[in-house]
Amino acid sequence: MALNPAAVRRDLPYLRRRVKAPVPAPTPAPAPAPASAEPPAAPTSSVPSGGLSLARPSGGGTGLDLGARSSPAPQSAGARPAAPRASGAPGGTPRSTPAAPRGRPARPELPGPFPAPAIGDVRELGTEEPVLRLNARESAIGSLIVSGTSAVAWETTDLIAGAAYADGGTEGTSVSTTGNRALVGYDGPDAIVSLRHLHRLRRALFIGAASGVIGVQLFDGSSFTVSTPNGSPLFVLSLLRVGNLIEFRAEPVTREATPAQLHREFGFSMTPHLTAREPRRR
Amino acid sequence: MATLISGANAALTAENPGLEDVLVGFGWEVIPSRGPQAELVPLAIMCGADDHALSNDHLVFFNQLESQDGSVVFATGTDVEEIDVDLALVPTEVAKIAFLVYVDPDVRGATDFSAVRSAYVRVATRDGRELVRFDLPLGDNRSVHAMLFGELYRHRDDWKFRAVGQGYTSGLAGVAKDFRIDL
Repeated sequence: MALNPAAVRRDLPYLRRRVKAPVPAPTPAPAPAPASAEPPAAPTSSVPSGGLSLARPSGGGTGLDLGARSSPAPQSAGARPAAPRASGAPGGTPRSTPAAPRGRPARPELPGPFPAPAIGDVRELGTEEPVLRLNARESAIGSLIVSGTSAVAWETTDLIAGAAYADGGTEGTSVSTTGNRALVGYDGPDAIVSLRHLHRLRRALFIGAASGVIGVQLFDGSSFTVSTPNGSPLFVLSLLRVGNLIEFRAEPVTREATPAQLHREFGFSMTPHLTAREPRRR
Repeated sequence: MATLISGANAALTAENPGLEDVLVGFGWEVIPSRGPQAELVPLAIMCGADDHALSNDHLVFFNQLESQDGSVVFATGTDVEEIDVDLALVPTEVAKIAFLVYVDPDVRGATDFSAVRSAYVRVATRDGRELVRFDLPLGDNRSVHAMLFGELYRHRDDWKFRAVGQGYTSGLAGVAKDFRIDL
């Protein structure tokens, strides 16, 4: 059975970055832009890709097609399917529009996530207001700073899981980013999430210290807390990435639970850490 | 190919009749470090005639990969980062598209341009033919946290590109203030 006949999953915004087909060698002697009055070379038609295809084979088979495609890619340079134009009256468009219909495929109208308060709407997560969602900008800029925690656990999109403790201990596998920083980890007393690499993170779990208040701060200084007054259940803060958005949820747990028990309860299975070493040479 | 200097502009559509979409490519090198390293992030802001962003949704970057109208889209190509602009799809109320690059403001350091070398922005046709290029003059940028590389703008019935190279010592907060967006 074909896994997914669609060329691009447009319902998943964070997967929509378009990977271009190889560009054929430019036509000889193109004129410099400012001095040129010549029109540019017409967009060339795409070259059929020889890569892995998940499309349903034309012969009716059910396996993966590892050979060359029998037909050109559906979204090729210069031959994109028609789509409704953007807003703006055609008569007011400064540039003339081409006669042939063009544009990107229409974005499917998908239901958004269920309504949830934004960070400015809620100052404290708890029993009354357990959920909060950041927007795309808040979810991606700078560092997410979480204070008042004793442990943090993470799970990446490729299911690498680990945990770090405020006392310096670690468990599982740490994940480093291209900026030479931990994707999730401690920096002094604060747990930090590198939001530049949000797309690598699947979820995280912040466990509060015994004293009680977890504080979360964003790049722009906006913040909220998770409070666990005496007599109430202890709350842990769960972070879940939903597409390109971060969703926080305060989850009640028993006060007696240890971090390791909470990790298991929330389904974090720590990835054994393998220490890299030089290969043996004879 | 034309190479621009700061403040210079180049006619795109007037000099290239039939040009309907362009690729805006960014590149740079960061001096390697064993410690935290600057991570540069391109940002496109679609502005109205008042030079302010039309809305928070008229901002395209790695976590908001496409404008709602589909005219400005992040792509993966030969440059470090690339943004495709379909000029014919750009709404009429958009007078300018500003292209900025900021250093991710991670609290663990390396948040300025001091380690950045050989930064450029270039505009090319869909098939890769370079139209204009701007190599940014990067001197002492220890206090610069974001930089306006250049801007595509309407000029009468045409589109032009202006090389800017203006640094923001105030970082993204300054960008947000100038373009009136919530960051």
